[in-house]
Amino acid sequence: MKSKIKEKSAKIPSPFGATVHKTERTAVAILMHWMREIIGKKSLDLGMPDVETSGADRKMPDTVIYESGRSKNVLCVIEAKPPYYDVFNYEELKKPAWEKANERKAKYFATTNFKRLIWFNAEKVNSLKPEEEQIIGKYSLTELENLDDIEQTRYSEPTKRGLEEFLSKLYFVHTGKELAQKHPDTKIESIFSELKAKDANEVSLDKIGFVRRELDKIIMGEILGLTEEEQVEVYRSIIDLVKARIEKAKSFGNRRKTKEGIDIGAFKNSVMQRIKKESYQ
Amino acid sequence: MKLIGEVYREKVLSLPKRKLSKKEFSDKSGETKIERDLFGWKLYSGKKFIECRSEEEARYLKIFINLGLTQIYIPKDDAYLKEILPELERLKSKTDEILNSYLETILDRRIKERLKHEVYMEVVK
Repeated sequence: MKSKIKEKSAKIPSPFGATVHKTERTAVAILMHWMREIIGKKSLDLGMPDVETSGADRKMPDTVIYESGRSKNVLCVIEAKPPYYDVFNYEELKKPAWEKANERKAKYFATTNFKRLIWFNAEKVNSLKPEEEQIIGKYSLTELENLDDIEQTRYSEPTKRGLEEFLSKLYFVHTGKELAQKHPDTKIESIFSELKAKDANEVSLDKIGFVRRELDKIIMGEILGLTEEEQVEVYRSIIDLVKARIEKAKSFGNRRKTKEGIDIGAFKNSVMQRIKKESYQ
Repeated sequence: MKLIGEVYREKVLSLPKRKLSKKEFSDKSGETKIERDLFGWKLYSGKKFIECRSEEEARYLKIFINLGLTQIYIPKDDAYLKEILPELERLKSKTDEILNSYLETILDRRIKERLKHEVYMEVVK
């Protein structure tokens, strides 16, 4: 059907149409819901994200994250666009996010097209540093093309993992633990403590300590190119191997204290007793 | 019952620092022997040696070097050194006698040395 005014095709909604589509706002609300869940589950001391809060500039960022549960200071502004937008799109994503971050005195802002999330440092963007320096982190969320599919498990799970990674890092950077993360001064614990599993069946990526997991992601994921399933298998094999070694060591008893069948401790005690007894005879 | 280590603590280390001299022998590298040459007394361990002011001092040092000590305090008073030396030598020879009676059935030289070292460390403790 042609429009009478400009002779262009016009879309007239069917009065009987029952189909619904997710919009950018709906998808942002879903992201916010997941972020709230992650913050709660991980007990991160970040304020719960809100959608479309209006500020003095009358502009509404898609999502804001507050500094802490008690604070109303905005820590990070997130601007989202549908998947067909480039996540680095300056006019539609980066610029509005940057301006809204500055207006709200937020230290950070992020842009996302639901496929990727780019986290910027507002101060470094203000001082026009090179873009590599402005970006704190890049997170791959999912291969989503249609917002209607966002809640499908194959899209929702990787998105949640990406958001978890982002929120954890945001928390570490914000609380000044970034250095500790870069140069972990945490003690190296036993493999059972590091993986929080006593048995191969208990291994789960969610339970592994943050620092341990971050290091392993780089080594096993980025360098060795292992998938998450393969990484879990590696963890399981290590647990099995260490457990087997410990069991084997136990079965040898006091082997280390003996040499060629001689119990050094017992030998020493026996000789010393005699020396003490005869020294002054 | 007294061990060599106890005698060393009571009769040597208890003396004021000014009455003691310290000698260091980094590593025992072979059988120890005392030799006298034109320049005086020397205690050899393999090719390494330390110069001693008297035969008594060399004998005194020999006891402790054989026990595995690397830093040894020596009384400066020669008369006092002469006085305590027989007791230390007696304890050392007694210790060796007992130890050898235990070790004579062990043929492996490395095990023998290891056990000897363990006992000596206990004796000088």
